[in-house]
Amino acid sequence: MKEEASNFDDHAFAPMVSMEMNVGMFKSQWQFCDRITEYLSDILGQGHSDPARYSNFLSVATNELVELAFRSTGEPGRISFDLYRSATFNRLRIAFPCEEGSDREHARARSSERQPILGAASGYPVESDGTVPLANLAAIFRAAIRIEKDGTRGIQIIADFPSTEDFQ
Amino acid sequence: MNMLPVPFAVYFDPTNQELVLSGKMRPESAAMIADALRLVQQSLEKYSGVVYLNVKRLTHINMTAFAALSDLLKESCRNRPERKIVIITSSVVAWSTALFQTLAATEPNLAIEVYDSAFYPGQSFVEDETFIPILRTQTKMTWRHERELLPRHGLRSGLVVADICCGIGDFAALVQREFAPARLVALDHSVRSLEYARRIAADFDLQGIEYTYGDASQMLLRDNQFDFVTCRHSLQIFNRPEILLRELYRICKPGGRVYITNEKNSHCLGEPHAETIKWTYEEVAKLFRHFDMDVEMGPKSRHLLADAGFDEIKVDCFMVTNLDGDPQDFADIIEAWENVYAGEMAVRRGDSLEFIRRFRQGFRDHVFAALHPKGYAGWPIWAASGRKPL
Repeated sequence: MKEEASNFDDHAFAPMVSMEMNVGMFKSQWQFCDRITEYLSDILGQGHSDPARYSNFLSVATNELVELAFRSTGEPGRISFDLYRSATFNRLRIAFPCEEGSDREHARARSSERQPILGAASGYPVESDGTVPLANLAAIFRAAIRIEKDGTRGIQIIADFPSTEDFQ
Repeated sequence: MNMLPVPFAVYFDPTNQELVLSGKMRPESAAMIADALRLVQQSLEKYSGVVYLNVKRLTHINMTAFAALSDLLKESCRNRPERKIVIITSSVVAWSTALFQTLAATEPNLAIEVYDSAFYPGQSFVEDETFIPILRTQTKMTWRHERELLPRHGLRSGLVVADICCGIGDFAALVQREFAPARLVALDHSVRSLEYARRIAADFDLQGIEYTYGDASQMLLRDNQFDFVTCRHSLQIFNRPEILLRELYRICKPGGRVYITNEKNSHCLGEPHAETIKWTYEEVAKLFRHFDMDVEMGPKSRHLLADAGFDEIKVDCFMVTNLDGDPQDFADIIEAWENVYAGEMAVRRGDSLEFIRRFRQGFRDHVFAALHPKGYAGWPIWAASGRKPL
């Protein structure tokens, strides 16, 4: 994972928005995934030549990561959603507490570039050939997605989306 | 905060062997969309030849729904190798083709077709680039009236505004300049029109208009976000105006207003030669009807807005005439209409040369009336708006 992370200059990212929620509240309704996704996607679309379409485009990938966090966290604590922007990328970071068993799942995922697989136990859809559609999404969105430990009991999902998508 | 699931729809049209999925599919589990999946499965099992899966108005999907749908499609492709499945995606929804292409890559009897035109029946007629100068002249002439009417319909500075079916963006540019909205989104389904709109905005140093490529009957814009939504001269050229109105209603804030303009072509008039002019424009209405468009819609605006759920409806009618500025502008518009209506649409309908000759004469008489020093020529337009109830 360190190799992947080194592709990006973290210092070049300026914060755009930060949102934090109690995990219990977040987990209380599945629809929060959709609402949070749309809120974040709207902000990601700002500044693009076609904001509505770019927001919709990114919302598919963003939603998947928000849902991934929903399915992965069950621990008490806070979940945070942060957006950053650099000259060429938009970054979404989701950080949340995660139990140790899931940590191991994530550790396996980290060894496979662009495949943040949680496995069947998480309830995440897994195809018969063992890959998850999220890997396809990363390719479709030309995104770099990585999952890292965040302290001793936390996980963070980081996705970098190119900001230069041209739909014209 | 409304936490009800955002709806999606699925239905099967046996006439076209077409499964249609639309809206937002983000279930927590496949079980939550079991009914939809069952319909897909049953339709695929029952029909032979080519079965179409139309997802062009599917605006959102999560991987739970996509994986469940994929499993069904793959299984069906493998069980029925002689039957073909064609997935119809839309160029508006930027992720759609690439995502569904992942299925086509593995199944030889599954193909993708991208839908990027024919959003409404007459699109090919009105998006001809040669029509652009006339569209600009039309807006210039109608703006003289609408500039005065729009405040009566609720437009004022500082509002969040959407101009749906903005075409070449000239009306949006005028609204931006004259009414200084807090935000202005301009949507159209023509990439070329939007390119033109962006170019004009840049040339005139007009900043802040958000141009977006979209299908007005299934917009990517969220619910309840605009104070004032305009849709000019467009409902009349959609074959399903109620679907468009439903979308205008959806994106309008409660308490906000939707403003529409439409024509009644058979009421275009002129003197001298009133009779030939009248005959030609009555034939224009019939010609559009042939292509599933209703250019007689103007007076129906109140009815349409009421049926769509709006209240506090206001209706105005104004007449663009040859006395509004330069009569040559009016004449230019009529000549452009003649070229499209008589030169293209009537020909495509298969009309006789004699009909087309007589049809053209009415336009020429209208031009004559417009340019005659004592003549009068008019083009009536209905402007209506309704409030989305609080």
